Amino acid sequence: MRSNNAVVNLGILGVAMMAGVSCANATSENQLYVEYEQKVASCIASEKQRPSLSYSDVKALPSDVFSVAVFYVKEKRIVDCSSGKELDALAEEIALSGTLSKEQLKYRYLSIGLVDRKKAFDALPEHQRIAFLNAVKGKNLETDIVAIFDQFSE
Amino acid sequence: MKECPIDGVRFGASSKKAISEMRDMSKRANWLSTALAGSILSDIFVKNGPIGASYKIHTTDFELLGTAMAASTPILRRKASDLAGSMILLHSGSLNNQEKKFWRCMYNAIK
Repeated sequence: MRSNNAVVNLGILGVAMMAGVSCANATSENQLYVEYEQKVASCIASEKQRPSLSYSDVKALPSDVFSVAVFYVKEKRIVDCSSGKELDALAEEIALSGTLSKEQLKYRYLSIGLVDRKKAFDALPEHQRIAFLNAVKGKNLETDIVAIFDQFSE
Repeated sequence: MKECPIDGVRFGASSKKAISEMRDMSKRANWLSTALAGSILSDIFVKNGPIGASYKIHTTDFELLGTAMAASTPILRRKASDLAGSMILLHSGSLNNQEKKFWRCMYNAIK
């Protein structure tokens, strides 16, 4: 529910961006953005407290499902965890900066880069999405994903 | 990190697209051009010129990138790492062996 609210709020902000909100010049780094970065770092640290994902957790899945899903779910967890701070920082940035493009924001905000990965994840059959989510439940995804992927072909 | 000498990597279309993303990222991280000054990875990831025919890259170049990204913001580091990881997981089929090694070395340097 929390993440759905965040998506709705970001959608509203997106409309505001496209309308071209015009305001004062932006400062180079606003305090709310600094707090957002700190929250992201904190969310990553929390994720790392869980037991790390291993190949045995996902070996029953097709490797292509793992490939499509893992970076999306990894990112979405951090986006959900930091959504409140992200929204505050993004609202501030839009208010201070005038018009902004997606290109300007995609490397500063995690949720903006998540859209394409979500499309690919949503295109997977539902039973495979559910199987993946069950396989990684409670596991730390801030680990060496490529090393796990390599084990599919060993 | 593991040894990562790559002699004569030629980048295809999917690698060039990912390099373009890295260049967009590096525009938002002015320090990266300073950190990578003198490294061949600066030609690849920071400068705006065309991607060359082939590049010879040393392990130390990736080590420099890893050190620079470790000092970066968690968001940029994560985006760069996930970009390299995604190239291995999702685009291996379209990469030559040298490209595969390149993205793997980059992932290992940043992760």
